[in-house]
Amino acid sequence: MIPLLLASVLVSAAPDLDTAIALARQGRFAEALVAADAESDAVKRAQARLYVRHHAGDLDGALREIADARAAGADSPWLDEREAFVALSLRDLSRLRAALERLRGTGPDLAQAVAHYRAEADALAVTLEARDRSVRHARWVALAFGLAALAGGAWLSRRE
Amino acid sequence: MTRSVGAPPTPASSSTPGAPVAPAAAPLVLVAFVAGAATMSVELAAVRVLAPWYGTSSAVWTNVIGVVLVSLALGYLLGARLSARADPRRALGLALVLAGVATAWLPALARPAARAFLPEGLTLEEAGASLLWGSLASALCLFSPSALALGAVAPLATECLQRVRGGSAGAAGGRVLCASTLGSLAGTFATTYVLVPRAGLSATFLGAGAALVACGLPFLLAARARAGAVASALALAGALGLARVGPPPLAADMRLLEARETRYQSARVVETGVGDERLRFLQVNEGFGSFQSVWQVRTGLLPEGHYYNTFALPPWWQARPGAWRLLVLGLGAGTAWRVLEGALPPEVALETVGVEIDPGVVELGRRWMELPDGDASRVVVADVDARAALRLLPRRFDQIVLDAYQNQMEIPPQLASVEFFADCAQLLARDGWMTVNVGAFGFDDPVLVAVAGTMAAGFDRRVLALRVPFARNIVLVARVDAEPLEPGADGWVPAGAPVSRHAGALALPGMWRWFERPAAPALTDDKNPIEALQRRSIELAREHAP
Repeated sequence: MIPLLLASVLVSAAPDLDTAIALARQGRFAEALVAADAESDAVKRAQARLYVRHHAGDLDGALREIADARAAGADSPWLDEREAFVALSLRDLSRLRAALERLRGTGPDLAQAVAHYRAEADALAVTLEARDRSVRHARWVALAFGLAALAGGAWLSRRE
Repeated sequence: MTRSVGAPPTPASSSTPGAPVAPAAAPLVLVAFVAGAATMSVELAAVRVLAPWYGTSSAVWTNVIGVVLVSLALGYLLGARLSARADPRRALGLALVLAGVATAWLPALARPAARAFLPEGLTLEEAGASLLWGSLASALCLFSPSALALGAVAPLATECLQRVRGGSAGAAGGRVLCASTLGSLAGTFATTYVLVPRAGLSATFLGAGAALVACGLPFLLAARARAGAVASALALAGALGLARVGPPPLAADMRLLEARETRYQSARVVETGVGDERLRFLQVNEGFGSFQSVWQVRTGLLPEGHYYNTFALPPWWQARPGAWRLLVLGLGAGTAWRVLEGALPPEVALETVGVEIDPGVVELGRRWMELPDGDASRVVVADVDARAALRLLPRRFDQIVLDAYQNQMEIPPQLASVEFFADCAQLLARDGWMTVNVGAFGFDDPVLVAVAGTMAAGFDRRVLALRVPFARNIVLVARVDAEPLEPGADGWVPAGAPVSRHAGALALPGMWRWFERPAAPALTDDKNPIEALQRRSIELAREHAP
């Protein structure tokens, strides 16, 4: 009874990554991964694996694929945009901001998406700052009450 | 020999042991009784009034009880100090009306106090520290005034009683403590079983507040403190007019269908979408975007991200026509039933028993989520703990679903012990399945590791853990007489089944893990640290959260 839905993620249209994409769309994810691994181009392979993971709902796996792709030398705004999308789904602010930083200055085709992610990142930051502030206030209230209780107790306990 | 209250005390030897209680003493005993009842009403209802924001976890209970106890202790000292005055009736009256007014205003103040320490929009793992500290600060702001004033009542009533009846301080104190404790007893039962579920939180606080003010006013008037009496009456009237406990704000796209206080929790049904795309959610207590049950117009699989879909896999793996006998422990409003009902293989019919401890949830399910009522193939066992229900169920089941949580995020200890899982294995038919929903932050989550290992010990076989796509849930799968299929093996993805896509996603590397039978189970009926593990799980998630 604790679903903690991250998001009903709608995987956005990805570049045409042939067989792996088609298999993933049919729900044949294991075959799709095999097909992705058969891709000779490192960037395309990484994109296909990411697409499969993301489409299957394995968001942590999708982030791992992005990291692996970067480690293999793959670099594309599409990867950054996907990372921003997944990081937002996971409410991972630092990763979202890092992805947005990499997306700075990208072309107009991603401008709308980037603006959306930026607004969401700002809203998430405001929420998290409000949380930290409220925790600080709560601790001060507890401390003040504790001191007041000690002082009050000592005063009330004194001899007349 | 009796004296009027306000006169200096006389030596204890002047009293007459065994003398009947003087007429003036009876109101004092009654006051102690009412104050005791109000104290427990405030304490028990306090957790419920915070529940929509902070839940009812052990931490919240501890914070509320701690605040009430510290405040009562200070109140005792305050009452003791004030009792030395020439006329303690005035102080007694003031303590009672202040406690009453503070109690009556609790429903109106709960929402702003809770929101001050818990901003909106947080998820469960983000809210960890806020839940702990926020519930403490909110409890301090809300409940310490009334508990402080209530604490002062007992010593003041004792002093007044001794001055009325004479005799020893011990005799007067004993009578006051007896009345106060009996009042606490009455307040405990009345609050839990009658007031909160039938009258609601607002009426409970207002009733307790009004009773305290009614007790205090005669003492104020007798002490000629008319200004205080009028002020307290006006403050109570204001509370009666304004004080209502409101639920937390809903998300912009949600509509509230019904909210109520059940015997166990604050529950509400909300709806989103229109027409055939409507989804209804049963939320309890703090929510944080999670829900206890979900309903959609059609039966069958829910949209991606719902762990209930994973429960629909065993009937396809079993591939046997006939009745599929299903036991759901933690039925809620019947979501598991509706999912399986619409996602079973052809020629398989559902025969099911559901156990739900909260009858209020069952009523909401029947009203808003099409939970069957009176259907012989859909039996609801309500108002019974799932562990106790196991002993009442003679049937052999093909599948047991365990989806029972308390306090939103805590698996009850009695439903996570090796003895419990062994009992479940005994209830299963040959090759039967057990599926368990665990809220976990990955395969290394301490709760998951402990529950999976314990389940493996109970079944004496290794257990398969499946990460639910697009969610933070993991479903554990165990089987008697055999092991579950290896993900990706032949037959794992049932051909042509509505669950095929879901099964395919679960077979990806990284989406599953086996848990072996440990040398010694982590969780037993004798020693079950599941609550500590759940706290550790949240702490770990918080450490990794932004």
